[in-house]
Amino acid sequence: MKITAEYVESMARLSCIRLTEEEKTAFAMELDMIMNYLDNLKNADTRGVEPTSFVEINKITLPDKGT
Amino acid sequence: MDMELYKLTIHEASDLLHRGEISSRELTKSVLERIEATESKLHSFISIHPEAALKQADKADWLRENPNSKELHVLTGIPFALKDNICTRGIRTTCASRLMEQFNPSIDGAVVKKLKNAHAVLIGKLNMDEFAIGSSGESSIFPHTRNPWAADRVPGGSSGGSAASVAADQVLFSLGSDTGGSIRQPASFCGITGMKPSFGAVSGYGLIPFATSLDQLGPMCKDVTDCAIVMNVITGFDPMDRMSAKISHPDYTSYLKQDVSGMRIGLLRGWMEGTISGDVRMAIEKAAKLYQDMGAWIEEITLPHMEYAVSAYLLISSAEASHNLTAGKGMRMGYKEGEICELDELAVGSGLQSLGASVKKRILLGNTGLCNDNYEIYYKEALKLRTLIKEDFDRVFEKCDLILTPTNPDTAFLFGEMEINVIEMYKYDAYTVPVNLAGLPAVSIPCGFDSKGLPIGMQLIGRLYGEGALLQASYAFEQNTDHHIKSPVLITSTD
Repeated sequence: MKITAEYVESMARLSCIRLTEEEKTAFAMELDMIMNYLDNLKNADTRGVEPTSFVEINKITLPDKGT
Repeated sequence: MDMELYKLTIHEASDLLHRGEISSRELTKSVLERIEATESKLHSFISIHPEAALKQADKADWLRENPNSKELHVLTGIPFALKDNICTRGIRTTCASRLMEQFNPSIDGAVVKKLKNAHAVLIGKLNMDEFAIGSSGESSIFPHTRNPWAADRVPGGSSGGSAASVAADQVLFSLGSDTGGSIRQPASFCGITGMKPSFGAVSGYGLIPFATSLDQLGPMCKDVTDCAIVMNVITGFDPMDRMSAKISHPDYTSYLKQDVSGMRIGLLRGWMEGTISGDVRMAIEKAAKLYQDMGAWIEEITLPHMEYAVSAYLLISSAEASHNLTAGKGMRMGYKEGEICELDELAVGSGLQSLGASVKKRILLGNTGLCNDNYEIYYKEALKLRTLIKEDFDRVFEKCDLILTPTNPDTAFLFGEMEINVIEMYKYDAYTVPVNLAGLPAVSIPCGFDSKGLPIGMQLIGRLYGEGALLQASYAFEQNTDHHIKSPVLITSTD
């Protein structure tokens, strides 16, 4: 996706951050570069993979449910 | 006793204290004088508290003079410092941010309580990247910490002050926090030993969060023995932290033995080609050879989804940071801009205005990854990659006890060097971020110097709660090398 200064402005408003015009342009350029880099995720085969939000830390000692 | 006490390790100082050959007051004074002599060049600290420190030292000395005292501990009377994102009751805790500049916590973080109970001596609070977001220390609102090995280079980040203060003998040990490498990378840049424990091993109660599912507090020390000593104090289940793991921790110092015979160490070699400096690659190959000579098995391994780790990490950490930083904090803290009339204006005019550029960018990136369709395309995809990366590690640990990698692809970079291409700086974290995504423990220990004389760090990764094996392999390596003993000559330049 292409990140423009307008997009940054709308995202900043959503994030409760006010930006100067210079910041909008500079952040748009950098975010665009980062989003381009993040597009490498699209090459990964994630079909049927469950997402992980947290590593299950208590798994080792807590008994399975039902015990 | 006439010697440079500030140079001591914890275990050396503790022995001398125990035998009554030095007092904690002498040791603390020596450390404070060292800080006085070096701090204007280094800027490791955000705040220093000499009077309170000497008071604690006197208490420690009093305890030691009472041999029946049950409160004595190896750390009793040992001077240390904390990264400034760890809450200290009555002591300003800034996160190196304008937003938190006047924040005076009413609580001690869990680790602070534990260190106070051991009667260690708190010297001060350490410099860092703003809200721990960064890899160079350059986003701090305070004067930037310099690398003790070369003043024109960064100390690494985000725990830059924690690493520099230990490397320059300003304190005997420090604590840092590690979300994607923030303990290990600065430890490697400054030539010290830094450990990121397993997720949940150390209570994060009182740690101001960056990314809750990745953050972990850990020790930054002059050697492996000291790391084990500090681990014994700071680990443990804490009901106040819902991310805390309900496990029993062993005595970590019991793993300090020079024996790696039969240990199976996975070497991540294929991934190193072309991406890391020649000096770093050579140092890692040499380390692998040394392990082999000591009787360990070296096995080449691959982690097929590692190439996606930096992307997944950026999305997950930024999403969590945007939540942590915007959920009310901007309303409660920091300065408010001008007069605020409307509710909408209150939001936009909130304390978040005082955040620095790199934090603002990470909040925007986090929200971009979460917004509308992007949630499925980016954020959720990152969470799936997290599963795959964790499974990669699981597969390797079926046949290996540990994994050996460089901590970073190269040594400390110059101030301003990464400003032009921020992606390059993110790639510096390529070896460290997968570890946080999988919740595993890892350590960075000194393993050589590059042609510029800058320290190189190697990373050992262990199984979940496998800190013992990590310490054992680290200790064996350290006892057969002398990289950790070398000290920086302050204020030199590599150019």
